[in-house]
Amino acid sequence: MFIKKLSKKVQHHPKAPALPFEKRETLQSLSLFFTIINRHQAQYYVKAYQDVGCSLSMIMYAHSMPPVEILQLLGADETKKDIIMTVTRTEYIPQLKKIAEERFKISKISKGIAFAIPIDAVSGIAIYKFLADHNKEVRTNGNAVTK
Amino acid sequence: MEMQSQNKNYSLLIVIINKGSTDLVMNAARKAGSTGGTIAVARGTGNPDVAKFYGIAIQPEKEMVFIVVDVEIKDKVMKQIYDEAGLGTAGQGIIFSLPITDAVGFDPLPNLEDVEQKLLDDNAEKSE
Repeated sequence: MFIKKLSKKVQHHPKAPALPFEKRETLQSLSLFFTIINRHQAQYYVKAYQDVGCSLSMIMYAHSMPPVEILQLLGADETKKDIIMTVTRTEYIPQLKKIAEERFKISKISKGIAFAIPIDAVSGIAIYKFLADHNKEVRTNGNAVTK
Repeated sequence: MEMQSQNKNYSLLIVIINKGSTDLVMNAARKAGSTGGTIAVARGTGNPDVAKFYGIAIQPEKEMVFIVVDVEIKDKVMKQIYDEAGLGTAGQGIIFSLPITDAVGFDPLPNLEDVEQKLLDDNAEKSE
């Protein structure tokens, strides 16, 4: 009797093959958000973008090349620039644009430009999760975003 | 929308990597069929809590490699770079790609012998 019961318990069920990540989870589309501003102005934007939920920002130094006529007309304007490249979810772009727009209005020194380019591929699941802050919903609400 | 330039589609690969590890990226890209890339120095800032959650160390000193590749070999190049300079390596590379809508200057240089032959033919035609 006991043997019979045990043999029933030990029945093996073949495991279903694991689905690919993109079929298991809801993927967020990503964008690269560029902000070009005067030198030493980057910290404000980086902090504000992080508060929105952007995981990674890269700052590069650059020089702008305005037309000579404009330089002569306005005097020696600031030509040293910071370029901030922020990888973020596409759904955050309106918030980032709003932050940048409001900051640009403060003064002539804080004037800059911002634009977004869609990202079409990311290599590696861990990298994708990091860039998209994939588990934000899990951490904040305790609900997994699965299909 | 299709990204087309000179009958070819291109993508821009951006690799964010720890300083001093650009050779890993370029060697991997060349192995997969890419011809070259451009390196720029950058400063990285990330959300430390999120980075810790995913086991990614964000060092402030970074280098960015920009590589324009044919769309047909894009996946191969990204895979090769990920294998040789991805998160599991010293480079800790982050790789993503952007679509390119227009590009010029990617045609191979003309063969010198063909150019010489064409000049000779033109001169011969003129002398006749």
